[in-house]
Amino acid sequence: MNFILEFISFFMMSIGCIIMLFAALGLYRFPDIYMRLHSSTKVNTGGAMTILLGLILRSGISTLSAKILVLIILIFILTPVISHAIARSAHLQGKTPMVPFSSYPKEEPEYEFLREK
Amino acid sequence: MIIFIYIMVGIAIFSLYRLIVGPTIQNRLVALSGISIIFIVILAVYSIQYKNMFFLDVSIAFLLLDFIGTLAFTKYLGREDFK
Repeated sequence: MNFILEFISFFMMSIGCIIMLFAALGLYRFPDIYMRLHSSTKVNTGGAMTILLGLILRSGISTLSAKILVLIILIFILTPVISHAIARSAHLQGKTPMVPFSSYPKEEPEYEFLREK
Repeated sequence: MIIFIYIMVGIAIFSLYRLIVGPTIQNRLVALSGISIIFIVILAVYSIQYKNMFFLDVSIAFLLLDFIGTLAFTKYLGREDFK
């Protein structure tokens, strides 16, 4: 029984590591601030929650697992608020999102390479 | 178990690129929040591995401090006269 729990915990932590690697890859690769937010913050939240659930399975019922549960709930609440605040500040500074077909009346010439011919 | 800490440090160093060469302040903030979440997870893994409860308290306090700091900074960036 203990072996099975440990194996499931190891599996969940590996999945969480892969998810957070994808988040860092999107942060490195995407061209715009909104795309980076879309890639990074949500995926980081999911990966961190997966790893902490694996830690709960490993440690059993104790005070440590209760504190990790508090940490999971705090991450689930607070990280999207941070993402929303960063996107709001970028919007208030006048940055428009990069889209393949611009729906704005002003065409931005530096995004010409994304537009389909 | 310890190998996850090494993988996490590698991911943090990989996303440190965006913190250094990010074009605007918002990109650097996104990278900083990602690195702080990785740091929180590293502290939790360490505290479960060595049965030490203090690092878990440190991680909860670090998450709250990161939240307050990022919120105050974005409030400063989104002002009307800061454009």
